Amino acid sequence: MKQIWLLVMDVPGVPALGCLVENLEAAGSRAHFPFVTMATGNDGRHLERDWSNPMKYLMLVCTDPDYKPSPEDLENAPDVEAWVEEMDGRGVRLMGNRTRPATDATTVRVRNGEVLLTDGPFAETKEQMAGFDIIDCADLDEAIEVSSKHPMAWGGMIELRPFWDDDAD
Amino acid sequence: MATPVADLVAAIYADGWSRIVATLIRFTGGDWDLAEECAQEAFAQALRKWPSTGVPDQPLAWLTTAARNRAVDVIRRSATEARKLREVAAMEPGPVPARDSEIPDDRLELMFTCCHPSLKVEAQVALTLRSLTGISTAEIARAFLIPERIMAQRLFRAKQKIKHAAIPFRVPPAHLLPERVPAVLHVLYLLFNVEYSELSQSRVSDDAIRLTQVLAALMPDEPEAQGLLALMLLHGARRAARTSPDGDLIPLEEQDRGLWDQQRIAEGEQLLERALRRGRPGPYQIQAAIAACHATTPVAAQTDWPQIAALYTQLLRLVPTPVVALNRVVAIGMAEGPEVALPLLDGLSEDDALDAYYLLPATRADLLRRAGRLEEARASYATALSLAPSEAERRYLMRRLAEP
Repeated sequence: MKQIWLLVMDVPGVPALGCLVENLEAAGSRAHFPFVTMATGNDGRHLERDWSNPMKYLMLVCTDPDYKPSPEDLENAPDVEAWVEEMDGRGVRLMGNRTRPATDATTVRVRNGEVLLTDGPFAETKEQMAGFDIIDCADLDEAIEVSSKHPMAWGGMIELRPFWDDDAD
Repeated sequence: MATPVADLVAAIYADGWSRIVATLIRFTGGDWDLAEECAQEAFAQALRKWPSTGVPDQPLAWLTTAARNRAVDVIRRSATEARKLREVAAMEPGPVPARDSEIPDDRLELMFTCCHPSLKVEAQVALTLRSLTGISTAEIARAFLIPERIMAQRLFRAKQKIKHAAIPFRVPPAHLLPERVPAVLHVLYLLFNVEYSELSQSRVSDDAIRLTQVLAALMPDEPEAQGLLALMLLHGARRAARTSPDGDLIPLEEQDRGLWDQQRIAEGEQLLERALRRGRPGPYQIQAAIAACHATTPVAAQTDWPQIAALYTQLLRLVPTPVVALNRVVAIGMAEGPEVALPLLDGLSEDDALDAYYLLPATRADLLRRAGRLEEARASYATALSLAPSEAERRYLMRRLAEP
């Protein structure tokens, strides 16, 4: 995979920030990266963060069977289209989709070379995965901010899983 | 026998440890273990060299340089991959500021990172102690009465999560402060109470006061930080009077008020007044105000209970927990008499959260005794005894039970 250095200059009062991205497409998306948000942080210090290592997180979007959303939750929950638009625009959301319910799932195991199939999910839980998104964020705080704006966080829940960073580990 | 240099190094360690760890975490791009190792090594070097070279003019700058050189060495030695080499190249250290006063203070960043709400509270507490006070993992384990192996694992996991989930090393931006400051205050408050409840000789509680002083100094516009510090000073001032020589709890009204630390009380009061003047009261400021009411009353019988009851009512609005509600009932019982308070207690008993909490029957027993309903009082003391968490508390209840 081709690695490209982006040198971001001219953020007022801040030295050039180096930004290593993995391919041209990602380089394009970084052009939308929220430098404005970062540059206006009140302490200015986190600008020193190592931009060669943006973080990818899997957002597992789930229902929460133990919580019944109130009418206010439903009323105030953000709109999913607006969320997708904002996060795509910021270059945060790399991909994502809804998934069909667990009744349509198939679990695949290979044991002693034999393919074994089960109808349904591998873990019988009350929570149902409803979808997923892959997001690319500066850090966990940004990933939390992005998740908390997702409508399913209002009533459902979202699990954030950082990806393995093959370069660093 | 400790040499003067060893004493001096120990004195610098108290504040210097966290300063150096914080600087090194930033310098290494978030390698907490390496930062701790290098800080340790820098202090070891100081102990080896200073006796012959003399103590440098700017000891913090000296120690920071030593720690940073060590970090560069370690990373260079382990740098095999191209990426690591690039990092080392980028790290070629510029000079450490030559004066101690010019070294940036990154401890606030360190506190907020240790207390990030995505970490479990017990991990936040352990990490804060380890990285901000420098006490060893073994000591932390002893303070929390768990095996060292478990504490080491807890610290390891927390550091791993900070690294892998990319918890940022920073003071949160202004819009996040209202939710992040209470997390830091909560951890410091938990630390303060470690010694208080275990009655041990550990210095965790003093460390908590010191860290809160740092926080209050670094966040002068945060009245709750000042409020927490005031609360700690006002509570801490009563420490010597709180237990008898054989470890029994002495209740507030029976404490020898001559043993209270007047200097701390005055300091706590002053801080509290300054905080309250900002007009943004919060739970810690109100608790400090309650503590101040007690601390400034020379004789228990003169306690301003109506004022304390009013403060508890205010606190209950901000922190609607059963324990605060119970304390409010106690204050009302003192202000308006047991017959007024007892019915309020009945409302509380329906709260499941207090079911196994010994202070509920203990309070009921006290109120009943003061109302002259001795038979019922004895039954409530017996219930409280069966729920009391420690020997000291059981002995206290036994004494009460034996009273006429």
